[in-house]
Amino acid sequence: MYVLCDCNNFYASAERLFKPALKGLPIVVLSNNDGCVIARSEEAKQAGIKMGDPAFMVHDLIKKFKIQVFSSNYVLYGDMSERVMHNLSRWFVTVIPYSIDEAFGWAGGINNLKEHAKAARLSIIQNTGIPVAIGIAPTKTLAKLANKLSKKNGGSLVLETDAEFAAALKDFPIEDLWGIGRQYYQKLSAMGIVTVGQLRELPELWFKQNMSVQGQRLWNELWGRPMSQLGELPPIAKGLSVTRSFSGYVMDPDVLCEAVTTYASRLAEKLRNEGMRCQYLEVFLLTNKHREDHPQHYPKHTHKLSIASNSTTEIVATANRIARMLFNRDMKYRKAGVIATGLIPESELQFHLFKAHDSGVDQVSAVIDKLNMAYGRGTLRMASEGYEKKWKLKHEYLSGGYTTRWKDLIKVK
Amino acid sequence: MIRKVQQRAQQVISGFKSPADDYLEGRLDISDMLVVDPHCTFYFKMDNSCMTGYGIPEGALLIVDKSLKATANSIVITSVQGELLCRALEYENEKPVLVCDTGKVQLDKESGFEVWGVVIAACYGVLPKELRRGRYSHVCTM
Repeated sequence: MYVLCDCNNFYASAERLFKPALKGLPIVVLSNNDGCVIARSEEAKQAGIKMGDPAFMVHDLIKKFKIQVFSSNYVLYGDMSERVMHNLSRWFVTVIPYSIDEAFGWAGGINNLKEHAKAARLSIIQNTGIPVAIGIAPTKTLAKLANKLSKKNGGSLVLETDAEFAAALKDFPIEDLWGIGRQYYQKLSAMGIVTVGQLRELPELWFKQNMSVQGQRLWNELWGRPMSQLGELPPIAKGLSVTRSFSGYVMDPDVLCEAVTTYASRLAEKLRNEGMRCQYLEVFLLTNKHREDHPQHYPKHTHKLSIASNSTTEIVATANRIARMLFNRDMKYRKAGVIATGLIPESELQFHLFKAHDSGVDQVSAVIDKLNMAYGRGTLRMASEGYEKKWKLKHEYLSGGYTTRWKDLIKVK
Repeated sequence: MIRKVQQRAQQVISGFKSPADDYLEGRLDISDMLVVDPHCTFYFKMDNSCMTGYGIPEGALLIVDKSLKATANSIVITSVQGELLCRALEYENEKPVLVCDTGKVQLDKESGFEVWGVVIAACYGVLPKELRRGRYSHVCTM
């Protein structure tokens, strides 16, 4: 039996855990750079705030409903997510995180699943303070559906028999079904099919002809026949990238290079974490496409490294060279990115025929990684990152790293 | 519970092989004594002197385990009307009471009282001012 556990309004719940005064108040969390709404508490949903609403557009609603606004605090959410996942794995074997706030798991060898699911849920909530919901069923599709239904059902729901599936599917709207996108939703509703109960009664042939192999899988999963495995990991990344918007416009090449240095350092660190080196390095710049009155410029350039690299010094130097080459003084840049492609495993490094190269052991990067691991990210960094970081993302409403930084600990009276 | 791989003392010796080689053990780590379940452990800073009588001076680091269910006589982190407090939890006539050096507060449903977690240990530095310098200024100060 597959388990799907997800956190209710995860970001808002994590913020509220450390600020009990926010209980019952609507909360929204903004995206990087405080651009738009990416998470809402139940109360904020009821106040009519939509996902993706730009922050400046909901300003009036925020005032009217006394909505509490937060910048996204991934330091906190990341740690809380790990706590939830770890606690979940104490109850089910093979827990595989699916996103920051949900995970699939396998429930095998458990006698009373319904009681087990209830106990697991209560324990996770007690231990982490994050409310979760658990759905269990013989297929991933049904587990996801059970999870959704459980939210109005005491927080946990186990579907074991076909009679239970049928009852659960009967009134379940197809637009909420995992795997039904807008296109299929429109097609199906034009045929008068609005519930998953109706959908399941269509013949398998219909799915085969109209929805490709994915549809056929879906149909089988709805009948309780598992078609996808746990732990189908995403394919190894073909490229890695670090791209960010600036807080304002960047019109100075030195400031631009500070930002590009920061992104490139992070990229090199990511490559080393994955045990990869890149053969190509791309840098791009973007102006603000929403401002038609501004001149527009989207330059990009890809450079082939003579020897594949994941060294901070080399990647930073190359990225900076490209950035200076792309920069145009008459433009107002809003965003930049550094992308590594042509990834190869560190162990398969090919040296250059005509160039001297040391053993391939990059001691500077190794020291950077070691120090930053021990003393916190950014302890040792390239001086060209600068100190002022005027371009740095806005996060005006950032809460603390309550679980990861001693200086951010909450004070109790 | 295994939490981390112990870093054994390592001696790289260029001359004679160390006779202690087969007997090396990991050095003591204070977190083994203070943290039982790291995935359910949180930390707070005491910002009030009202629990000094319970051995928790102002400025102490509180180690809080959320997985424990508070019983009478536990010291807890609790939220009362949206504020986080550190208090001793007692029961009088089966009703919860929060106690500290300066008095006690009877709790009823309206006060919105909830136990956030149980304090399992408190740490504080005892260095005199003259020695709280340099890297020693960090001892138990957050």
